[in-house]
Amino acid sequence: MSEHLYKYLRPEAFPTPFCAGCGHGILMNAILRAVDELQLDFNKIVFVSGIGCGAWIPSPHFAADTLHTLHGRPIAYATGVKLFNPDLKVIVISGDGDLAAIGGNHLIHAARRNIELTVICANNSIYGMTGGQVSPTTPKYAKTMTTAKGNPEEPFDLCKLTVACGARYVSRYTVYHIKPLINSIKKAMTTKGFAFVDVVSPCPTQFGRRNKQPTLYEMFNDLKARAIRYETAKGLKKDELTGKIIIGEFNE
Amino acid sequence: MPKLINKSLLPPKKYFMQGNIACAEGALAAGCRYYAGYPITPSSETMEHLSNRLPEVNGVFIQMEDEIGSICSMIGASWAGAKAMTATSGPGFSLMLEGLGYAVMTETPCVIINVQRTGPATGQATRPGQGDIMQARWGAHGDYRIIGISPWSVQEMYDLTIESFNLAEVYRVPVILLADEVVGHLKESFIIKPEIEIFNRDSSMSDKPFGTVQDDGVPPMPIFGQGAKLLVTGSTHNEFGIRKVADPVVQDMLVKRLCAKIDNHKDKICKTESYLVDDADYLFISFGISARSSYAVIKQLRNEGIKAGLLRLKTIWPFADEIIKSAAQNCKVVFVPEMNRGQLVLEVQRVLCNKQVISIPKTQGEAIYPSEIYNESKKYIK
Amino acid sequence: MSKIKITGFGGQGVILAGEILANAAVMDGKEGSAIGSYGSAARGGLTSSEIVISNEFIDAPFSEKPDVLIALSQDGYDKFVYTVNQNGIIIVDSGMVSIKPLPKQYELQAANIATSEIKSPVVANMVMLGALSAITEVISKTALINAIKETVNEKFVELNLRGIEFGFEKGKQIK
Repeated sequence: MSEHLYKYLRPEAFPTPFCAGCGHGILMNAILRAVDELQLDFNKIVFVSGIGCGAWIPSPHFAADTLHTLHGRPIAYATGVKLFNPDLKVIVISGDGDLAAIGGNHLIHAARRNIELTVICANNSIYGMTGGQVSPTTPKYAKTMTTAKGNPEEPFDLCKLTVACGARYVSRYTVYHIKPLINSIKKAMTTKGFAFVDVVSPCPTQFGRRNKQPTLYEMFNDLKARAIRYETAKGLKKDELTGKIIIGEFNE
Repeated sequence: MPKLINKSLLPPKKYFMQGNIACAEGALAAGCRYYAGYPITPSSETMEHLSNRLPEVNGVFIQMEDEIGSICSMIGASWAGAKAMTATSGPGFSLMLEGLGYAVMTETPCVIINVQRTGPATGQATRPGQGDIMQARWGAHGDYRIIGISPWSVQEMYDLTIESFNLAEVYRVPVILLADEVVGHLKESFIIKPEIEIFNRDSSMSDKPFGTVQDDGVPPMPIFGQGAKLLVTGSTHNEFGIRKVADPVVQDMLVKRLCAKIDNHKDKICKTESYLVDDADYLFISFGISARSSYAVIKQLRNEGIKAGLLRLKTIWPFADEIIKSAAQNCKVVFVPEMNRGQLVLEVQRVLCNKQVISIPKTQGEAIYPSEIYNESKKYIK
Repeated sequence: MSKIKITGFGGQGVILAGEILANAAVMDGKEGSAIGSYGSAARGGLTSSEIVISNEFIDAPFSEKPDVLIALSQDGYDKFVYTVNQNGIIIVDSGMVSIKPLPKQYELQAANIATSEIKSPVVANMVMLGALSAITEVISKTALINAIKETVNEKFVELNLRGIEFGFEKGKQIK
């Protein structure tokens, strides 16, 4: 991480608990760069997170007010913070299991209310912290601790979901696409309404090693191969999009 | 602790009002400026009333998507500096319990109104019960303390809601107002006094918002946006808020202090009222609407020349062990009428292990009536 | 101390009538309490209201053995008619209820009066309160009128007051 970003960190919280090859460190970096480039007052930001690896990105690493909440509930907590003090910038950072499974109800209702929150989903398609169980964004047929013969279920497209619910700004990038990711987080942080960024982040430890992608190298190659631009994807048929990661901005 | 005298929001006079609405007005008078809730019988009137009243005092009202969201958003608002409240009943309270534990762990002041109905599960939604007494005390996982308060009149739906906010702020603890459907829906007269006593949390800047030198202390609570760089977490944490998920000493110290800050201040927290207790041979110990029926019974017994008295618990948790011991010192039999299969009686029996303690339970989805308490107690009155 | 029970089915305004009665007592300088009991459905189902009026703090706000039972429906009448206090009275809408031969029972056809003479079936509850005021000392007509003016939506005050007047006149006739 660039030295000029150190001021946003708590030195006592390092080293991070993230595994080798985890994409969440890159996401942490991207979020701080967005904050820095926007010159946001770090004392007026509240970072809210749930339970899981993604939730540890802000808490305890960020030297701002952080609210590390119950599993699945960060958006509900964030709603209370933002409504009572609208001068605060409230940013939710949590994982796919936290935001889309146990917390799915809060996600869709906050999007519907279009309340001014930035929600960043650290989406590694797996329950990393609890040992690698299937999550609502695990690709179909992927192997996890609870789908040894392959995931029989279709994953959620969280971007289509939040767009349908009325979110003002919705995008998806992977941590491999770092420049557009930072720009998109900046847009989300300056959106006057509900903003959702789905960030696909590799988890070699719990996902990759069960799916023939044991290191970040294979996982990055996979992200590269599967990523397809939103504009390009529009012209394709449903079966041509199977297994693809649509990246870009979903609001039109 | 900074104590203030606030003007009541409604003009001081005698009112005729429903308990649930008096509760909402008490909250406003106490300084509640954030309410999050979800519709549930028999508590919804509090929410409906606040949906109109909070905007009038620059407060925030939100109807959340469920009770889990309600308690969580209330905790978020409390850290943003609000005096915050939610109101619910049985099924909703069950959903809130994880959040209740979070509020205890993060020492977040907040008030939960539980207008008790029958259960388990959906039970009889419109009918009164008092079956959540133990759940309020023990419902969340882990070991902890909360404060539980029981009003018996519309007057107390107002007064004790204010008291709940004061205790929440002073001890940085969730306070549960354990009302019941009868008191919630009862309409009767009550008086709003011109001034009320208000306690506010100590929100001074501190780098130790989760620890004190004393092992039963209440740390100051800075709020979001002050620059305190707060680390609020439901995981075990040290005095700075840093997660310590495998440190036995930190876990032990934290849980001990969370308990001690309530246990060691019991004499200041616990409030009871005694009626004709001093010379009583027969002591009734009760709470909420059951205590009102008990009150009618002791008057009837006194008319018959039987020395009966009533000790009414306004504070249920922490349990008023010492007060109960001293009130029951010279009596022959203790009766505990309540609208469940016998919950409070378990605590009374624990405290009065050398006395004859008789449970008078009722679970018919209606109030426990004086005649029922009278007939049952007469079996033991010689 | 007076204990009154009003009973009917959901939608007849039983709970509102109880609240107006208790509020009227409070406006008269007494203590008054009203507690309704109802089912989960918004319309229909047995509904009752227990009212206590007293000169001092009301202990149990229930009417286990009411001094006055006001019955607007058959179900309510059947359920509570034998709970009435030994010296108590019954005021019953005999157009709605097939009554039992009992002493101290005052009959009037409140729903019929409301429909045919006031042109509004919803004020049968007020007709019964008017009759209560004429037949007993429990509450004054003036207090009822004041309570209605304070609690009822302005648009419906006149209608409710007519209900009280008709009930009061009818009550005087059958007293």
